[in-house]
Amino acid sequence: MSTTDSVDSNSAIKRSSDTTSQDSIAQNFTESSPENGEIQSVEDGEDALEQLRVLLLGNGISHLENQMGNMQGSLNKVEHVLFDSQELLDRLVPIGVELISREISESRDEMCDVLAPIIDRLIYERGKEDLESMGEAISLALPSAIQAQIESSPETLARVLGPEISAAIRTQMDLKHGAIAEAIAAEMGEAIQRQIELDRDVMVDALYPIIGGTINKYLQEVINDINEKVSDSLSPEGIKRKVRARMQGVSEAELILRESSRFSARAAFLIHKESGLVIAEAQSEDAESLESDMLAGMLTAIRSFAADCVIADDGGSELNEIEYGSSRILLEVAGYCYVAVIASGEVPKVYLHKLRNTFGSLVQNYRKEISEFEGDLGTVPEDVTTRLSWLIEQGSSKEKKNSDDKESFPVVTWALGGIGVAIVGLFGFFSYQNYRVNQLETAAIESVAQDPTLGLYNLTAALDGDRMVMRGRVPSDNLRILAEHRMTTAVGAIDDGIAVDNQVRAVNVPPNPTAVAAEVHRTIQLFNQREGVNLDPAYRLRYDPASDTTQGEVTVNGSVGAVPVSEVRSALATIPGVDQVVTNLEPIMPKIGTRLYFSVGSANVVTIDRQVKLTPISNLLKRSPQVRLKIIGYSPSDETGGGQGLALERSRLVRQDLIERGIAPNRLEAEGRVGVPEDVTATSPDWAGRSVAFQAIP
Amino acid sequence: MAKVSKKICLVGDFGVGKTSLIRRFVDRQFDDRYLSTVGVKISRKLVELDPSLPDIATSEVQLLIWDLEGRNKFKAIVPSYLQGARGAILVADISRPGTLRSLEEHLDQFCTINPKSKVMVALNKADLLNEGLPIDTSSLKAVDDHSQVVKRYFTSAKTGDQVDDLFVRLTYQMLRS
Ligand SMILES: Nc1nc2c(ncn2[C@@H]2O[C@H](COP(=O)(O)OP(=O)(O)O)[C@@H](O)[C@H]2O)c(=O)[nH]1
Ligand SMILES: [Mg+2]
Repeated sequence: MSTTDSVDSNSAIKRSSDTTSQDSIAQNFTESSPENGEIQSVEDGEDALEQLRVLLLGNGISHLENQMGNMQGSLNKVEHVLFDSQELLDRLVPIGVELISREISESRDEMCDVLAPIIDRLIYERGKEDLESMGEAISLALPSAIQAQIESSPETLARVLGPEISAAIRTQMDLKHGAIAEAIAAEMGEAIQRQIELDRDVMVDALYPIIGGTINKYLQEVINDINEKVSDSLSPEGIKRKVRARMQGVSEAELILRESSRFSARAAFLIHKESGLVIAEAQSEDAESLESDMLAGMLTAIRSFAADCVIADDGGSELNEIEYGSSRILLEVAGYCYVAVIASGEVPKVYLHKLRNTFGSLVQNYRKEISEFEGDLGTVPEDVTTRLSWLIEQGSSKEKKNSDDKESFPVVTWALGGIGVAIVGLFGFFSYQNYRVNQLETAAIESVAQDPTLGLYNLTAALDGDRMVMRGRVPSDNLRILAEHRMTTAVGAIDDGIAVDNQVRAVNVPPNPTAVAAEVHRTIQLFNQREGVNLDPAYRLRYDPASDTTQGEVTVNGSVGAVPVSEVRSALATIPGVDQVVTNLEPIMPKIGTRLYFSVGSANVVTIDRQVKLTPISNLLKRSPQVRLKIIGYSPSDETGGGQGLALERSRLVRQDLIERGIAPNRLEAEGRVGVPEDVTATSPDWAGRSVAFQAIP
Repeated sequence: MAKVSKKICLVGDFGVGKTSLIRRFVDRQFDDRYLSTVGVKISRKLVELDPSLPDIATSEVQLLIWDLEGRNKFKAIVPSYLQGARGAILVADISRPGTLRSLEEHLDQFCTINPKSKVMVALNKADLLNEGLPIDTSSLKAVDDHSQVVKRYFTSAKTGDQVDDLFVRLTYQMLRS
């Protein structure tokens, strides 16, 4: 959490027109009271009501300034006190109705005067009963009072409320789905709109944490990256950075931030403007597509909200960028749709051009498909996705040794094309060489940079003759080999005469436990998206006396559905910092309804049953190595020649058959019971009891 | 088969049980803290369909469910939040007649913005009926007669009664329109 907060302070929402002042915002945050969200005890009820009364009465604007911050706390108390008071309701409603039927603007003060002491007394007398009815009764009076206040002196009110609003919003979010939080949000909407007209900065500021939450997932990676760099500040690289920091006169932290804010586009979405449905999307490999619909919906809501509240009154400009720390969402809007690119790092101007051109041509070429989009991805031409993917490719980070020279290369070739053919021959060979090096190194670096587990480690690649030299540091041997594999595949696809020279070092950087825990959590979330999976992970560091080391241990509880436990284990095991995985999971066992039936006194399995019934069971066991099988033989108590022995014999023979089909004996349990299966009743045919039943067990 | 998604909105006065109905229907909700100030919570649910039924061309639909909240009857919801929805569930609380009366207004607002959509009406907290609560549905005539309203249900987010029916029926209706 603290890492996220530290990024908060760099945040900004940018609009096409004016830029906002950061200083005033910072001040507003530091001034806000930390007590706003605290729920105080019921005994304070009278005091709270007094505050509420003063607030409603509008006893001078300066009072409001002090009280607004406490309003939420006050309402909390009211909620406690009023809970379920039938008597209160009975007595209050007629008064409320009578008063409200008058002209509010005339009788506002009288109403409050009359209402407040009654509320005070009743609340004092009665405890917790009918909260909901009470809430409704009060809600009749409250908005009118506030409304009146707003009507009489909107500007002053807004100015007074301004600084408190951002704090109030934060508090409100912390309360989660508290009813009061919701109630306050409703009233706040009004205040917010007033507020915006006067001082946008505060509003913009209040929005950061909300927006931040939605892209938090993407941010996490950047934060990991920074943590990584801080933790290796004593490494040669770290020392180099320190020296550089001295020479350039900037803080080390700033340098770290700069290094990690290399521009990279994570995902691009084409979103239907009204419905917020995703028309097409492209994500770099590590991002999971599951979240895209929610993200698109929320972005759409934020856009609407911003359009309604923040931007409508400043001459039609659109929200075109949401910045959060070193991550940002670039928005380009057209008639029926908009494109959102989620990226980190400074956005190069060139990229913005590419984005606008691509989006422009998308909208032009597919106007009809986009405007008629009804949520069916089958109606979206494939080219739309292709173009979005191109945007991601264009925005993927390419760290190269001489990045400046090579970055400019494509521009050079384009320019050549424009000037003419005459000089092409002159440059041809050189250009080709340059192009090939560029292409190979780019592919090599992308192969590791785009891998979700390797992307964090800033591996480099440089072509040296026939060798692609890969350098950098990773925290485990596994990752070192994975990197080599990725790079070999990528380079080999272009030129199989090039060998990868793996000079990456696996150093045992003690992983940052918070980062590991976050990564564990993220991995588990991916599984939890699947049907029937509900896993709950816990990560802890444990001292292991045997090896005299500290081991990172993940314990996973919950149900794993149809997902093999091994898949969960191996996904967790690849996380650097996780040395041991303890699973405590309930697989969902398949139900096996199959029964075998026998002649009186016999344990022979009918041949046809062997083929028709036992084959599928054996296949099931082969498919699901985590499943074991209990084989239960029955012999009804009245069976001639029956008994425990025969019941067991029936199940033993079936077990034997399965073993011969290659099922490990220790996965098969045979038992015999005198009696019949539970579902066999007196009206069932007599053969139904002479049977073998199956039960899958973990 | 390509994925099909539809946006639906839950509309109704404050406290009628919109959020609770969604929680009932959507087992795994996205952490809903983030957008409470903006006034929208979005949840997602995959609804499996029976493609053998007439006019149903797909075996599943992803519902994106917009919970429009925080604004009560004194504060209209931002109309643009309703845009682009193919369906809506209008919710009222049977224990508060006022919430039944405001259904008509919500209906008008939604249908003006989305004239091609389908609407379900949920009279929620039906579990209270068992406790002897009387109900007067006379104010619902106009709502029942509205051409975009498909059906009215008595639901309970508390017991889960009729909740799935409500959402699934709406899904089928949206695909047929
Ligand atoms: N008895 C009962 N209470 C309900 C039911 N649905 C919601 N509630 C309660 O009504 C209150 C408001 O519900 P909520 O879902 O927040 O309403 P919303 O403002 O429309 O989202 C909460 O206290 C719920 O527990 C229901 O079906 N039966
Ligand atoms: Mg709600």
